[in-house]
Amino acid sequence: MKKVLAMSLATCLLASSMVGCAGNKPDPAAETKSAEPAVQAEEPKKEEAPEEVELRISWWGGDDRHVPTLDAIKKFEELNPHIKVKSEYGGWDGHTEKINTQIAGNTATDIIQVNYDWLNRLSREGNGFYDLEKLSETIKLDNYTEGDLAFGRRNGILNAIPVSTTGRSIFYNKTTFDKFGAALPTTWDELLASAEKFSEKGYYPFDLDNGAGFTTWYMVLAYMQQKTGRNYINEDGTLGFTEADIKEGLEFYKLLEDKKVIRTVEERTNEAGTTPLYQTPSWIDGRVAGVLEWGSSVGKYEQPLVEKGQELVLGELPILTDAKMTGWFVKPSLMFAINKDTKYPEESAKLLDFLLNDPEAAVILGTSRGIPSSKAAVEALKSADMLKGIAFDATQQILGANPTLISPFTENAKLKEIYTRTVENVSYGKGTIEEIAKTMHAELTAELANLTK
Amino acid sequence: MKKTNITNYKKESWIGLLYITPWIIGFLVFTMYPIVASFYLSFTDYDLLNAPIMVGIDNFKKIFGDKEFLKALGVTGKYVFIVVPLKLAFSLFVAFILNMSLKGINFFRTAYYIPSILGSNVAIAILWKFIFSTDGLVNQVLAVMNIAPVSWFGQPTPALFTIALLRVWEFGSTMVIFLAALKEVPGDLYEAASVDGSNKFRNFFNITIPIITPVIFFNFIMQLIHAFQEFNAPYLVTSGGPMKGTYLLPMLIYDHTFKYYNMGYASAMSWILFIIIMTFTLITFRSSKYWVFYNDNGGES
Repeated sequence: MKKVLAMSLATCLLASSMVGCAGNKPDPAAETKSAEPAVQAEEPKKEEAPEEVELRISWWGGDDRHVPTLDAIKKFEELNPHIKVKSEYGGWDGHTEKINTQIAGNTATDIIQVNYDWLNRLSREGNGFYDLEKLSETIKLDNYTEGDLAFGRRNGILNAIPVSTTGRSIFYNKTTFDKFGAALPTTWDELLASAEKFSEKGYYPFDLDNGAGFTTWYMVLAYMQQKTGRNYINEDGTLGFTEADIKEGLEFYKLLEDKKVIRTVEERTNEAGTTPLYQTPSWIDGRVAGVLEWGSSVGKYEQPLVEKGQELVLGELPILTDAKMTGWFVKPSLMFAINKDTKYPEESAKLLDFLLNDPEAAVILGTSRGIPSSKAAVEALKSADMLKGIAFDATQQILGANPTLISPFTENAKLKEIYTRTVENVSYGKGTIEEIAKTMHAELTAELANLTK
Repeated sequence: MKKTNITNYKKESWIGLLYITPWIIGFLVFTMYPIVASFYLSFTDYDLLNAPIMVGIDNFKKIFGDKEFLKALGVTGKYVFIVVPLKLAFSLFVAFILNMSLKGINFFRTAYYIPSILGSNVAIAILWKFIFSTDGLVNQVLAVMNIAPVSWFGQPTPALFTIALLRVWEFGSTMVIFLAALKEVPGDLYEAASVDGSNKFRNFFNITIPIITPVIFFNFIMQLIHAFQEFNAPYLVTSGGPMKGTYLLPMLIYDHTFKYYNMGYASAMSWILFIIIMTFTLITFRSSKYWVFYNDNGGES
């Protein structure tokens, strides 16, 4: 009995501890196994003229993006009966990790929706993705300005095409502001004073997210860039801000908390753990009445309010009167790239061009990926009278504000971790702001040096 | 005669092997290969894209100066310390109750097992967020009892506690094992004890517990291993916050692999975690001869 028990225990221990130390590995292996046959199965029949082809495409987003994209792909399949398209899509959470695993295991999809900061890592020398200029007979690149395409270039090679450009704007729940008879803030001072009219307990005029979206630090950056005229991260990837800049920025953040413009990190986390703001009762019931969000994805904030008879409006971008630069940012919201190892570059290019530049597809897709950069797509949306709403207004606003281009390093995972931790320390009062700023400055400098080496 | 027996035996053993082939293949591909790979990778610098570069034991040297690692290790230790005893005690308690001969006991046994079937998936994570949120169920109950609301997710220690509770709540499998053990305890022992004037309380501690120690031992080790490997609950409910208060070691390993692309470093951390689990398990095994009793040779061994 004793022996049997000991042996079974030992086996269990071995098996489960192995799973433990192997940690995340089984997943990539599993994906490799399941995904590869699909691609390889196509190989045998190559001679026939309209060859049966199966393409795979991946993207992230919400339902407001999934549904139109799937519809557009269905349309594409109708027009090209010999091409079958397999879609792999999901939310943003964990998507980067999934794509990284696929790329590492050579099982990435033929067409990949990529984020701006991925190119730095996945295609440092410019050879991480298919050179799209080789496919320019199929993809009508003349729909884009050279400035737009520059976002997708690495080492001069066109790795990806930006679908749209976007920046964060400020949006207010007008219903709540009206309830308190408060005017929508237009300047930083008005924003700082905006909580004065919010007399009822538990109501806040604004919200900043200290998680993956790091709007806490984003807001600080906009403010401090205006104040100092310095870029947060220089073009060469070095830190533009001084320690004093960071300290002042963090003090500004603390002021927002102290003046009850926003909730403290503790109050915010405590409401619902990691649930995104737009799914929490505070937002849906209008108790938190402002948000800093990308114009290209504000829809998910607007929808729940509309359902409850509330109104979300675009606010003005606060700009200091003696601002040395507008300080607000813009970046390509997302881009499309083609797998460098794809078996079907021509067909992939065809699908990509359809999604980006085809007028019919443009109308189906609408503004689910922001206001398209493609001239043909914009024309199609204009004639269908689909260029309206706060997403469109926000994009116009930010593009018209002489914005700074976000450094591709800004959204690096390690840097984001530093922002989150730093703001937490300020909010929970772990140490003086001076010490916290000093640590942050040292950490940012070190990490940026590490990223650019 | 004898010869044919041996050939038969051999033949059967091949058939046996054939039967477990699926498992062996699965084991080699999904367990053995990753173990070997992670062992190799732990001595390299590997960013998932470029070929791994050998760095010797640099990763291991770095780990012991890594504040994040030490902090996560501390939090993991705390978590294990909370969750293992709590879960064992709770599941034993429930098993004890479910061992009574009550009407409809099978219904209760099923009902108490349900949380374990649900597992720590996303839906449970959402449920948990609502139960412990500012105006959540727990704080409402506390308000009725005139206790000030607790900042469950907002402060590190309560947050760790809520995560631990999520695991304790899934006590089903340990409970079932305990229940089976309790049913094995011979009834005549209790009868004999009560003849000698022992009460229920004493019966439990002096008869039940000693007899089921092998099962306690088994459950303890299984739970210990699971607790050290906890990932889902903190990832889904708190993402390791606030102030890294629920940032367990497996989360740190995950982040280093898929967010910071330090696959080599992450592998090294996995091996450290493995050694830690191994050490605790060995200690438990060693200690077992002082407190685990087997009655298969007629009494305490």
